[in-house]
Amino acid sequence: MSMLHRAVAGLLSCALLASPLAAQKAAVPPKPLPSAAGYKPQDKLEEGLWFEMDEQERLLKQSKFLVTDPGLNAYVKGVLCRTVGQERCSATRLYIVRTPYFNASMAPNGTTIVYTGLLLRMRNEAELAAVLGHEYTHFEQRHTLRLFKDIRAKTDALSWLSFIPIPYVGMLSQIALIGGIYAFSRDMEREADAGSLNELARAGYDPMQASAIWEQLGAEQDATAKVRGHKSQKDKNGGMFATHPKSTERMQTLREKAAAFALAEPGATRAAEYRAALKDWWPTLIDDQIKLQDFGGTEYLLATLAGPDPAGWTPELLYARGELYRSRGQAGDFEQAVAAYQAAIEAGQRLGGGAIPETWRGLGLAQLRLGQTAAGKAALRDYLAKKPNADDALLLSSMAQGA
Amino acid sequence: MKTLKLAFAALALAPFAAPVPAAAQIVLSNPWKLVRAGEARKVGKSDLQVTAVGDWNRATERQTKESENWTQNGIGLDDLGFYAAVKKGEALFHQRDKKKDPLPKFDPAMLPTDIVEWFENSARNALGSAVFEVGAVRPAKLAGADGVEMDFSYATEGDNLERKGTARAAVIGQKLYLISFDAPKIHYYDEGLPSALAIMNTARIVK
Repeated sequence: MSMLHRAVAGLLSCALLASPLAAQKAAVPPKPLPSAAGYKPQDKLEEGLWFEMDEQERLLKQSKFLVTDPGLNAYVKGVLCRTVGQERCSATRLYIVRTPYFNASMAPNGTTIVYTGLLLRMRNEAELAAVLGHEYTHFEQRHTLRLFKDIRAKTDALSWLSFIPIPYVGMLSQIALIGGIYAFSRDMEREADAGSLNELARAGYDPMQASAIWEQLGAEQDATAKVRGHKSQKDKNGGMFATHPKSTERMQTLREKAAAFALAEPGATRAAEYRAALKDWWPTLIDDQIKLQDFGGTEYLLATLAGPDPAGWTPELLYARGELYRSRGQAGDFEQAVAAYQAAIEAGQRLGGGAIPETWRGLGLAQLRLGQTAAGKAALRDYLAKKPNADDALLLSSMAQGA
Repeated sequence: MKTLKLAFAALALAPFAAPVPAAAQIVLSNPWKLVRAGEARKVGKSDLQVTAVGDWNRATERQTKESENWTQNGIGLDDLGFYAAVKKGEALFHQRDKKKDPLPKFDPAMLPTDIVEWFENSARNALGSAVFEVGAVRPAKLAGADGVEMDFSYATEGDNLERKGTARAAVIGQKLYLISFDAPKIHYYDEGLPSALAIMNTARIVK
């Protein structure tokens, strides 16, 4: 989470979020729940928090990062409402933000933020529902409020008020810090895990989908760290991947609890519906991911999305693999990229849907880097024939001239 | 790019951005130096020489050794960045965290399109922003060498302003030279672009 790191850098106060909270004991939340219709803050602290969050939400509505596509918003909000039910869903307002990291958050006032990076990483609707159900439990159980109470108890009174407006970092990072996936304690995570399983089962989703997500997230962070040669960040915040209990134990618990739901009929994953809803956005989301230049994490992610069956490598995923290798450009990478682009074109022909035009662009550029001049220029001309009005058409045609 | 600085040196920049009380100005050393119209200077003591068109303020704080940032209205309102003699394996911008958040490295074998992608990837990661789009890209000359010119637009979380920019780059003698102008889309980009392009046109390599 480089955004989180960016925000954490130089912010002494953020250390407050991380360490002491791990030891926090879950308290029995008082009634009524924030999900109830007409709920109002119960004390001064909660009022202050709502005040801040309402202001952040006002800014969020004007953000250039907001994804305003009504179709995508309606779909994701629909999944949330299907998961927690229409009535409880009405306590929330959903915002999708263009940020290529795995994160989602729900603020105490019901502001719900979903990062586009989360949408890229989910393989089906049930996985998205599991994350939303998980975050909803944090919201309904007022976990963020408890974090703030804890901070206030351990530091000067009201000092949290001064740490909310972090200059220059931006409100998205702030919200991610305050109520994002990485903020909560282990007890809160257990509670949210259990909550998400209940929501999934009640909504008719397959509860088994919940455990895979968190495993995937941890493994992706390991993969990023391995290639970059630093320690994995997954254990950094104490909550999500705390070493005690080990995250593997947590996944095991999730699987066992999920299996215990004796559903009348098998839970749905709604993979086809998910793919259809994301179809128009997918090229943008994968492009944002590749441009992070996180080779290890992205390679892991592509393999996860493809799944164990080689047929899972769609023309789009093969194209993305080509872009990933071409973008890194180390020894052997252009050969790998050419192979991936060619496989994408072949798979497109075999499946009938074709490959996206940019596949020929990538192929031509990778071949040029390998000194395969004639083939590279031919591929660029193929691309320009498919996309004569591309933004870089002038430059490419100057590069494609001659045999 | 002003916001590049914000991203990696957020608090350090605050003295530039915030109005400084008169009393404090006496004790602070001036972080700006005037570059007069017609003045020719070597960027960051590199071999890239440019000549000012109009008066500019040059930041004495440098992102990297052979780079400079100039502005007319203040770095948040227009920013002319010069990046000279970037060598193989070097990043375009200052890297805040080389290990965990590395920026992509320059390679002299890069194609013109690779330079464009490398610039975009560098900026996205330095700014921490996925709201960064490269628009039109065209062949161009820089310091007499064949290169590329690109338009781009972006926003950062920090101030939520829509910004536009134009950059020109070329690989000369295995090293990368890039001059980038960017400013808020409202008023400042259109106002500053002609003199920024005129300065790009004066670029030459001097030994």
